[in-house]
Amino acid sequence: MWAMKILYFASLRDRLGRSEDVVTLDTKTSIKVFLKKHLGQDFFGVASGKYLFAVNEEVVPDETELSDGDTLAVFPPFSGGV
Amino acid sequence: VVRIQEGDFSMEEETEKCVGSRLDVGGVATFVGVVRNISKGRDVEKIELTHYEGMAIKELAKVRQRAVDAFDITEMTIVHRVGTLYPGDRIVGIVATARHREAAFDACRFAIDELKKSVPIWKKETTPDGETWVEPTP
Repeated sequence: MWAMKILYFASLRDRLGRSEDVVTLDTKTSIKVFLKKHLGQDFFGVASGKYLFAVNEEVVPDETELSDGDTLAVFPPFSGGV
Repeated sequence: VVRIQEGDFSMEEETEKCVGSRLDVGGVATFVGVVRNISKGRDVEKIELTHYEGMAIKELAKVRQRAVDAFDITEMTIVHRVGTLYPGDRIVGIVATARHREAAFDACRFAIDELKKSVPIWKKETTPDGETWVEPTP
């Protein structure tokens, strides 16, 4: 069993009504597979490429395997600047 | 220098600090992004900028480093604000100093374009229609 933190930002945070989850996992899994299972119907657009993913503050593709102690962040494309 | 902060900043101060005591600087280009009072035809009352704190400052530093590596500039400062801002408020300020003007202009342009693509900051606008998360503009 290993632990992982998931952070949600912007429109996804509003949609889910929470900013983070802490979970324990017992099998190695990719971001995509994990999130589909973890968020279920809440995760609109996982396959549509609407969201970006970062593991330990680095943007990664959704097939990236998660590891013990990782912090996974899920967010829409950025809109800083002007 | 890169900073993310709630408070306002002065472009005059940032420019002075960026130039410092160097006498080989021949050109200083600055860019200031400001909150616009209209968005897609709707009046903007205010915007709220949120960020992924640890990652945003790291990505902002990477943007600056890429600009320093790619252009012949002597220094660059990028300051980005977060929190609640109103039309007319400064959002982001960029200063690029160089021996020659081309590099300063190019680096400034590069930094704002790259920042929009790679720094985890999100904008929510409040208009008479309610609150909307802004989708990125190409």
